[in-house]
Amino acid sequence: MPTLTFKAAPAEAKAIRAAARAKHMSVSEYLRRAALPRTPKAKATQATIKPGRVVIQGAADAPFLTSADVASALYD
Amino acid sequence: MRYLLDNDVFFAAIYDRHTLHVLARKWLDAAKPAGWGIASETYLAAVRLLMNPAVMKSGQLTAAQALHAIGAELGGRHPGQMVMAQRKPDPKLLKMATGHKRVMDFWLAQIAADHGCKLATNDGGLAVAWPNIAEKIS
Repeated sequence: MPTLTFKAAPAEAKAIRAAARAKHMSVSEYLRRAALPRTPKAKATQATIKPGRVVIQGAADAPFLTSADVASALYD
Repeated sequence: MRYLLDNDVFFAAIYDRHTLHVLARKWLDAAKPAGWGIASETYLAAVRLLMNPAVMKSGQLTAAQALHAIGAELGGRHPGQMVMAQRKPDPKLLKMATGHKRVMDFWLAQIAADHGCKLATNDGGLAVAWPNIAEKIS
């Protein structure tokens, strides 16, 4: 695996180490994620999409939602 | 337009893991010919829910997917209107909200009343309190 090195001011190095610690990551992992943020993959949506009638099928791991759950997701 | 759907009814109609999906889907399919719509707030609420990983888990949609799905629901033979508020929130109405989760219901009720239609809701309490403005779907 290639190794990348770069220069940083002492204060920057301190701040980067502290930020990595705060997120329970190594400095390498922290910088990798900062440089290459993960974006949600566009999945093939499981849905029946017809003009005027859409039914999106929840994923197998998705919970069933009550009206109270919807309110909590939106307003809590 | 006869019905303005609240956030819960609209989301329940398009998402099959809502416990009231079958009821909401059936109701909306039957109600559409009479004229229907959603407020911009409801449109955005549906986008937020469909993109929310806590709600959708591994089925979380991208913004483009969510917008496509909602746009499709609003189309078709009996297209839904996108309704914007005509005036500022009415303090006389909103001050009756008994908790923070009720504020949006009251706001949507105001928008429905201003447009001369009924707010379609799963909230029986709202329908009982304001039978002239809100109607519980069945």
